[in-house]
Amino acid sequence: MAEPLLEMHEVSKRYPGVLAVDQVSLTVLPGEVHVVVGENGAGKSTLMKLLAQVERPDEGVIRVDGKPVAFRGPRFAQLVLGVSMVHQELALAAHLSVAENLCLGDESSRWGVLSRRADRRRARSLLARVNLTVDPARAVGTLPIADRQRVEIAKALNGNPRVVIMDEPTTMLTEAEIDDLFTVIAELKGCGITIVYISHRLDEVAHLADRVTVLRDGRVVQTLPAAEASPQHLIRLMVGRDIGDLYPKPDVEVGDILLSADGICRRGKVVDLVDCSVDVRSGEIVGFAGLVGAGRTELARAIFGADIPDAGRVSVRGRKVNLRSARQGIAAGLGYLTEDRQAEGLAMALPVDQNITLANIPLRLRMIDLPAERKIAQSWGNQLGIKAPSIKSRVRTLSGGNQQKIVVAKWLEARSQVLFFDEPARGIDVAAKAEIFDLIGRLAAQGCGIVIISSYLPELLNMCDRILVLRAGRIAGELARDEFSEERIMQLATGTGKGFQR
Amino acid sequence: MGWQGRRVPSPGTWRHRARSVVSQLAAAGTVLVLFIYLSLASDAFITANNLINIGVQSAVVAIIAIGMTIVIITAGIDLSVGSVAALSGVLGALLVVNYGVAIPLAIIGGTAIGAVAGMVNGLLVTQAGMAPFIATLGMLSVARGLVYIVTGSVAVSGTPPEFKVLGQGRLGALPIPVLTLVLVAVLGHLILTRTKLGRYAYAIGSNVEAARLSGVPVKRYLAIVYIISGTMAGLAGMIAASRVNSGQPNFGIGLELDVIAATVIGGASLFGGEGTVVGTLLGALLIALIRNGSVLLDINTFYQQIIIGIIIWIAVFWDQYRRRRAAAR
Amino acid sequence: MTNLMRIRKASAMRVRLSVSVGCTAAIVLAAACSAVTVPGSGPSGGPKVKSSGPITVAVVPKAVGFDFWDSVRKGAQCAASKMTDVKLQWDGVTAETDVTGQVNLLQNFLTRQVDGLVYAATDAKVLAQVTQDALSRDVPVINIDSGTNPQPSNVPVFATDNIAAARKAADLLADALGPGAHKVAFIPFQPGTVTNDQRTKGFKEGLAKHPNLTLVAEQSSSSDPNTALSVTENILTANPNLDGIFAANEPGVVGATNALNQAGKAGKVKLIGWDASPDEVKGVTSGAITALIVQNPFRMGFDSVNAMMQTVRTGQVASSEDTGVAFVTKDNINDPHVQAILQPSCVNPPA
Repeated sequence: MAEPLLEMHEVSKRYPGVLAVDQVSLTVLPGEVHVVVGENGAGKSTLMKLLAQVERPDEGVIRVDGKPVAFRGPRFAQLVLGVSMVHQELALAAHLSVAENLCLGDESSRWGVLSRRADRRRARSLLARVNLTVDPARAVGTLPIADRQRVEIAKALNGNPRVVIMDEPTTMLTEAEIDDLFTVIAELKGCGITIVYISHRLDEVAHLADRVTVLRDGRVVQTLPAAEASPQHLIRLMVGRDIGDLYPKPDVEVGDILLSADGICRRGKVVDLVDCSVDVRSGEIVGFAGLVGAGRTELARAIFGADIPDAGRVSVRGRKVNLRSARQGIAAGLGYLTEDRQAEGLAMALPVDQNITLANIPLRLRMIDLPAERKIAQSWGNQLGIKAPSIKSRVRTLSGGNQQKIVVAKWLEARSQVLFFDEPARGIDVAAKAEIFDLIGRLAAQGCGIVIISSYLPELLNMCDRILVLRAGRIAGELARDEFSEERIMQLATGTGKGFQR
Repeated sequence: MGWQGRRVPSPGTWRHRARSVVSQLAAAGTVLVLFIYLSLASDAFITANNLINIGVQSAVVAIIAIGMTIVIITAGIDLSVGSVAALSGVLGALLVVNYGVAIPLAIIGGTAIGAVAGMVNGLLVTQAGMAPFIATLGMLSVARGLVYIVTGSVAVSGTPPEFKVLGQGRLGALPIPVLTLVLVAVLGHLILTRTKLGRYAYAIGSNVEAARLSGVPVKRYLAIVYIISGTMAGLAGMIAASRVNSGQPNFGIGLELDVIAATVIGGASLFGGEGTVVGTLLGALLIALIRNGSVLLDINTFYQQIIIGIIIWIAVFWDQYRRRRAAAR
Repeated sequence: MTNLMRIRKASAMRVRLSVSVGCTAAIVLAAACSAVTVPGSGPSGGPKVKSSGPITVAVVPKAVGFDFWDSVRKGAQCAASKMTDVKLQWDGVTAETDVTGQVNLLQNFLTRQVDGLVYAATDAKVLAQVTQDALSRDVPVINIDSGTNPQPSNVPVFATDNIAAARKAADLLADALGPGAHKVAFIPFQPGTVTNDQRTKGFKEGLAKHPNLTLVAEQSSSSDPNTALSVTENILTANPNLDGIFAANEPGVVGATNALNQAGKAGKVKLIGWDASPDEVKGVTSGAITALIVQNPFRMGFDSVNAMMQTVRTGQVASSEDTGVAFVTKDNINDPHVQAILQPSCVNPPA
């Protein structure tokens, strides 16, 4: 075994009221891709921030090349120790150009005057290492997400680091973009760069890892070679118990048409929707597949009334819906679970019960009926298995899975019959994911119509009765369950006859 | 499945209530400490007369601050309250002096002027899409300008003695401004805790997009919130005018800062989603106590400003500390 | 009010920058001029004479919104109305603390090339630059109410002798209270401003001559009647056996009068006030106010505009003038010469 490049010895990090990292020891070998997995809140990100010197450990020793290192901040870690980090949330200044972002804090200058040309030159060489060809003068805010992330990685390559830490880099990417990213990672590895890669997607382990470390509740459960790390085994290690079927799709008799959207058109910022028609039946689960920017979210929002369509008709149970605002959609029985719960789905500062009743507040004599509200919240909490210290806990303090259930409860309380789930499993740990999909299945069994939008095809392939594939704002095709295959979907999504290769 | 994990008291129990009171500990604690200190330092402090004075002196700021609290809960701000209060005061006085309008009607009229100014603010924010800071900054200037135009920049005097009732009258032992404040506070508290308006205000302030997608008519409710703030400024302006029995064109310059200070000391967050009437009352009371105590102890005016500033820091620091602790869980 | 200053400053930040640049430019310009002028004409050249034709005079008070300054306006307009070919430009900032605003305003008038500038300085030191700027453009200046520091010899001041008048306030209080030990309170309005500090100085000098009077409280009204009301209430609470109050400007007097009325102490606590707004005059007749020290703002406006006319037409610089004060009590309030000051009109101008 080679000498470890990085070594953490019994390192702990405490935040007020929580021990985020608890006596963790971890070694990273030179040249390996080391994947760290664990559920949300297991302490993955904190651990990596300790490595990259973004946070100061409370206890323990970190060694590089066998020598203990002083804590002097992320710049020191990157430029002196050669340990840099790509953060989960993209940390780029949107108004600055690509070159300015890449050289931020380390600008080339002559006599105190910034040298734009030198910065651009440097930017181009960094971008080349991540296979990105964009104009370094372009403002970062104008780039697509995948490119922004590539810029972020390029930024981490400043100063030729030996170790690059990547914190869940694929959360915002489509399958194709993920494959490109993996190619870049392979190339970096080929150049001798060691990669520490945080993930909660177990399928990525097989593609990338040399070794895997599993974290649970701030502790290391085990470090094992990738060959021994089957997804089922990893899940057991992560959760601490066996999890049943991830996608429990019940057999449901599909009933009458609940939702009928016809000829939806809408001019949009990212993509224009053109003549999209969708039917959803009672008990049916319909998937929206497509690349990012194909208009899946846009279509759901237009049908729901979050964005007002320019043309088209929507009816629920045969009754025409006047699509002027989300209000009308809700009144007609539609519900929309946004992709980004934090930004659009929940009032994070408000307690659980108030979020659950937000779309349908119980009133008595025009005043809020607080006892009724409490009962409603309690009842949904019981039915959906929402775990919270109390119904007065602020939703900000809850886990992603419980937050997602609260949004579901809100729509069920608003008597929604057709629910749009936009990336329902995003930011949710494995156990909660299984619960959410189980819940979706039960809702369908109770006669709801469901639409799932997902970039992760296994979710759609397993859960759906029917998949609509969107491409550039149009419905490129429709697949029944017996026609499902990743290849077929990717052909429709990309508009190529050639299958999508992994 | 059920409410699992830690078993924690359901709302309504004393423990839950205690916790929500603790969140206002900074303001409540400071009020208490100051109260004890002043009663030891000055014989005159704990007298019925002085306590009533403190109530009356805090009423104007507190009434406006309750309106402001609702605005701040929506993540907005209303900088125009001082000017709007002055406009209401002078127009209310003018209605009486120049047009012989009955005094109750003039009070309603003056208050309605505030509502109109608030409505303009609301429309600028919701229809013209201006940032609340900008929209109300404009109104601050416009309303003050109107004050000088309608008064010719001279105080409106010559109001009959009945004009004094709102600001100086008493019902039994209780001064009418304090009774008005109590009424406004009870209404404000009910609105915030028991009506759609209050609930939507919190939801909008916490996450405007989530509120919209949950079917909340955001624009309508935002407009209402600014109308309430303007109305409260108008009412307080009438009380202030009645207290000095004249419409004063220079009333309320800089008042918005005391008002915002009261709400922030009371635990409202300028980022929205947080704030309570009780907290704001404590904040307004704290400011009035500082002013009252400073005079009782004959402390230089400038030190009063410093004390208020420091208390704002403490309150906000406490608030952020609490929030960080909550977020770290 | 200090709050107000702060927010105003913040909002005027951008403007202020340009102003300071402008100021600097003006100073440099003034210096350059002084370098090339012929000896004898001085750093600020003599006013240019405009013996005929229409002339424009700008009159700028410390602030608009007070009775006092409104009377100045009436006096100035009266003077202008009695002359032909004079156009009066009256404008002011809305708070006496808005020094920057007044500097901007005055510089705008200079840019518009007025023939004469009559103004009351909100800040003695800052406004000295503006006076220099005006003189270097050969625009004659007369200060009313408050001058600058330094005060150029060719810029006369038409003002009340605040120190002497405030000294007299202590005498009036002593007279009203009679012999024996008495507790008195003082309500200034804007510590740090020249007028306020002069009245404070005068009042304290006056008190020193009456050892039987003890000053037990000194609290500012921030020139806001509501603040003055609260402050007076609190002073009365702290000093239940207070005997007298001196409030040094109109809002302070209005607030203190209301406080005394509401406490049922009107007439029992002797109140000496300053200025003569309708509410204050009512206080004198009702007995709530023992005496008012009344300046002659009408005369201030009237005389200063007349003097400015003379200066513009003849080139003769006027000399400074104490516009005097009157002491108004219940006994003399109906005297014609007092009424002429209280209700100044162009028909019956005060002496």
